[in-house]
This record gives sequence, structure tokens and C-alpha cells, in this order.
Amino acid sequence: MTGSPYLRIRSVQKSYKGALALNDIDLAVEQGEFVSLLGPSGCGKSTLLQILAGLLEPDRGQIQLDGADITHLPPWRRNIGLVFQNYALFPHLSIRQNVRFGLDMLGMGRAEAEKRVDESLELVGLDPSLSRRPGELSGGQQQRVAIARAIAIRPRLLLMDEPLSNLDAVLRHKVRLELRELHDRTGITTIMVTHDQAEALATSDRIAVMQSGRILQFEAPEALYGAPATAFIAGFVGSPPANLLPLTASGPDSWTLADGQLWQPAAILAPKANGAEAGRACLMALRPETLTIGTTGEGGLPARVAAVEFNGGDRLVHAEAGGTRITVRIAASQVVTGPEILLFPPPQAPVLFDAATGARL
Amino acid sequence: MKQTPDIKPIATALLVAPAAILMFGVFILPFLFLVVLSFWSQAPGSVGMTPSFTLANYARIIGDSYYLGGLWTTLWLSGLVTLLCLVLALPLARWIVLHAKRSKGLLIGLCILPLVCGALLPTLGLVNLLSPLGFINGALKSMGLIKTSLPLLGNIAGVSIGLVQAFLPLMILPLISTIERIPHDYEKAAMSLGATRLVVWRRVLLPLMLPGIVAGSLLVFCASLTAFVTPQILGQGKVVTFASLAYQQAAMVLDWPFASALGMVMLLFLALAGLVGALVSRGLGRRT
Repeated sequence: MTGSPYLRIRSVQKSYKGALALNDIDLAVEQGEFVSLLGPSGCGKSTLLQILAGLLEPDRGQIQLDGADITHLPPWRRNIGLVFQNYALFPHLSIRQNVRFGLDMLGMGRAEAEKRVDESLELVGLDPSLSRRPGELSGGQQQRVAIARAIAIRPRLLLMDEPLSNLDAVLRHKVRLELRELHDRTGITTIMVTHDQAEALATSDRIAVMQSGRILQFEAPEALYGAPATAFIAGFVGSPPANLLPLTASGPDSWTLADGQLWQPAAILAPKANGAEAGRACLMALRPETLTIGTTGEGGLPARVAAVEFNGGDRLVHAEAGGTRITVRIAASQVVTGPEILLFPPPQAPVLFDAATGARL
Repeated sequence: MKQTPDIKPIATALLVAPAAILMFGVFILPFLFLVVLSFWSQAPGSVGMTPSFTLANYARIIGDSYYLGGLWTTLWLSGLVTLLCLVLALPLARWIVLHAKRSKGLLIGLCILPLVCGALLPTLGLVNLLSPLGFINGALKSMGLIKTSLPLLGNIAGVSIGLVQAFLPLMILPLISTIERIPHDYEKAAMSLGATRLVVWRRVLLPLMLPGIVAGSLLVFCASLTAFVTPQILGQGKVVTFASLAYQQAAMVLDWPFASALGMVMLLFLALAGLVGALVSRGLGRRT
């Protein structure tokens, strides 16, 4: 390789009926990566996937795959596998015929194609002797067939559009693990569109978070979780996501909370240490599992417990602090005493955003 | 679960009775009479009928090239009309399903219009359009494309145009309902697997549209086979169809037994068409 990425998306723009669906998208994906496009519905993630598949043409910009410009190549000449939310298996063909469809298009000989069908079905954990119609299978099995069909052609890229969304919660978890395992075995460069941040965190090497037709951040799951680029990402990623505490710098050492209360935290959390001049309105991201609960001590954030959820392995404490709902995750063995508590953020540099723009301070 | 209301059998019978009696009186009974009549014979030189059991009427149809010719014309005319309707309706139905959003109801309404305004009115309109001094010939002449009028009336061309106009909705409606049930993702999936647009049609869309194609074709074929008003007016007596032969015998020659036999032959071909349709649908049903 010459050092250029396997898949490169360059300033791609697309509008629908005057509205901008994709705004100047740049993305570089390395060979063998598992990348998720994560965002709420309408953020443009599916549009980007369709452009990669060749089903939509961008108004502007360029797509390069393996060194070649494929921007204007029709979908049937791209050799890119596609997996849909509703499986899109051809109901008039048997399972094996479905998997063979792309191989027939390649003009592959019968014996070789049959062997490839066996391999593909085995890869997704299905019995290759299945002679049934897709309609007779469960949703999870149908999606496995759809994946087998997409990988049978040995695609240069595997694109998946919300592949788990039609499955029930238990199956979704199972198939999501299988997707990652399959990727590790085949090494096919994979791009998955999802609105489920847990799905993206669990499966991906890197995640591109999208909002309103833009990519906000493109990083490994750990980086995305630990250092979100915008308040939107902090409030979206994680289950439960980070608490966003609105506060205004009232001096070098103290913040004013939304309800007018003054909060004098540990020095490292104070406005001065974070470059917030007096009067600056900010949002502080507080991860539920990093907060600790106490009753006495310096720098605690006064809060009032509203509800406690027991989740088996842990407890979620929902409390009001400075006029904002804050969620704290504590060990199941820990007991919360009294409605009045103090919340202690970890003694490290906090993640702060500008309240107006949502950008990192 | 939905509960069916508890209705007593006697109440059910009472509810069904009016329609059943009406159907028996005005459809089943005359139909049985028609069957019996086709085996009777006409008294020579009179309009009286002799009850008997003779196959003479059927033998006359098979033995006379005039009637066999009429049958043959009707069959291939119906086949042609079915094919033309299919070719015209496929792209139209697909376009309505894919692209008509708010206007869909209106477009489907327009498609149904020829069905609900009867055969006479649109056919007379067509006479005006197709006649040697009609709109089409006039327009072509004034553009200098032709010198003498194209013969569009009193031949197969005119009758086909009229029948296609009349029965196109019978093809469009089943097609729309089948195409609506084909998710757009099938096409995308096929294209991603290397299928060009043509191959997508051949290997994915057409097989999935087949139930609608079979239903629509059956409807158009049967309707064309029995059509009377349109071939009569646009054929101007020069296109001999089976329905017009039966009409001649029944209303002009007053040979009711022979007219009945002609009707029975027509019915036989309707049944055959229905059988072929059923067999194809069953074959499809086994595949999906």
C-alpha cells in the first residue's frame, strides 16, 4: 500500500429537495476495519451508506475504494455487499439460491458456486443443507442468510444498514457479537449504520458520530466515550449517557448552578483550572459510573435523591442537583442513605463544553 | 383475539337467502336452461324449438369454417389485447407505486374510469377518434405525415384499441396491488450483488410480479373473449367475434339452440383460461 486509506470519502455533499442531507463529508477507512456510522434518524448516515453502495449519487465529492475512483460506478459493478434492516431476501428463491444469486451474476461455475454457498452459510453459523424458503426462517436466521449472501461474493466492502434493528433484544445482542466475530474471521472491511450507540461501541474499531449531515467525531469507541468532542456526543453515547450539568463560572473558584446555587468544587474542577472566565456558561459532562456519593466533605455537589433503580449488578441513583437530573451508578452492595447527599466528581480534569455551541472547552 | 358474534344458523340462512334466491332466479336457472337448450334442435323453417338430445349444434360449429374462424379470431384477439394491456400496464403500475405519492388515489381513480362509464360511451368516442375523418387521421394529415386515411375502424386494429382501452384497468389494478407488496430493498440488494437493471427485472421483479400478471391477464383475456359492444361498434360488422356470432343467432336468426351451443363453447374457453390461471398460480404458490 502507498499509505493512502482503503476507502476514502472526500467532501461528499448530497441534498434532497433543497435540504442538505450530507454536508461536506470526509472519511478515511483502513482495510479490515469495522466502522460504525452512528447518529439519530435523519442525520444522513443511511444516505452516506447508499452513496457508498452506488444507489445514490452524491451532488459533489468523490469516493475512492482501493485506489480507484468509484463515485460514478453503477452498483452492480462495485462488488460491495449490502445488508438491510428487513433482510431483503428474495422470497421466490430458496435460501441457497439467495446466497448463490451474486455468484450467478459473476458467472461462476456450478460446482464452485455451490462450494462457496456452503462456505458462506457455515461462516454465519447456518446449516448449508437448508433447502427451505426464507419466509420459513426466524428473523435472526433470515439476517444470517442475508449476511451470507452479501459475503458470498467476497465483497471489497460490506455495508450494513441497521442490520439488528428488526431483531428482539436478546437476539440483537447475540447477532451483534456474531457480526464482530464474522468480521474478525473474514477480515472484510465493514461499515455499519446504526442509531444504537451500545451496538456501535460493542462492535466497532472506530465510530463516526453524525448529526445533521455532518460527522462530529470519528474515533475509537474508548476515545469517543472518554473524550467526546461535543455535548451532543457526551449526552448520546453510553448507557446511561453522561450527565450534562449546566453551570456558569461565577469566579475563579466557583460555579453557579442552574438554580442559582453556588458550587465550590475541588481545584481541578474549578473555572480557573479549566480556562473558563467569569460569566462563561458551560456544560460539565459527568459519567454516571465516575461519580461517588457521600454525605460529608469538601467540594461535594449537593443533591437530593429522587429515585433508586436496582439493576442486579448495580444501582442507578437518580438525583436532583442544581436544578438538573443527575444519574449515578453505584455498586449494588452500596446503600444510599437519606434524601440529601453530596456528589463527588472524580479528581481529574473534567470534560467541559460551551453551553451555547456544545463544543469542547 | 377477535370474537365472531354468536349468530344462530337460522339467522345466517335468513341473511343469505335474498341474495341466494336472486342469484338462483336470474343467473343459475337461466344458465341451466342455456345448457339444456344447447342440446335441443330448431324446427326447420320456424322459430319453434324441439326438446331433444342432439349434438348437432356442436357438430355444426366444428364443421363450419365460418364459426371456427370466428372462434379463432376471438381467441387470438383476446391474446393480443391481453399482451398489449400487460405491456402498457406494467410500467404504468410501477410508476404509480414508486412515484405517485399524493396523486396516487386520483391516478387509480382515473385508471378505473373506463370500467365504470360503461362500454358504449368510450367506444362511441373512439369512433370519432379513429374514423377516416376522425381526429387522429385529421391530425396526421394536417401534419403532412399521411395522404390517405389510415384504416382504424372496421378491422382488428380498431377493435384492439377499443378493447385495450376498456380493459386496461383490469390489468393495472392487480399489478398495482402486487407491486406495492415488493419492497424496494429487493432491487437494491440484487444490484449490489451484480445484477444490472435488466437482470433485476428478469430475475427478481417479474417473478415477484407474476401473481399480479396472471390475475390481470386472466381478467383481461376473459373480458375480451366475451366482449360484445366494443367489437361490434369498432369492428363495424367486419370483425367477426364469437360473441357477435352468438348474438346474430339469438337475436336475428332466432336459432336459440345454436346460439346456446355457441355460448357454451365460449364458456368452455373461459373455463380453460381459468384452469390455466389456477394451475400457474398454484405452481407459483408452491414456489413461494
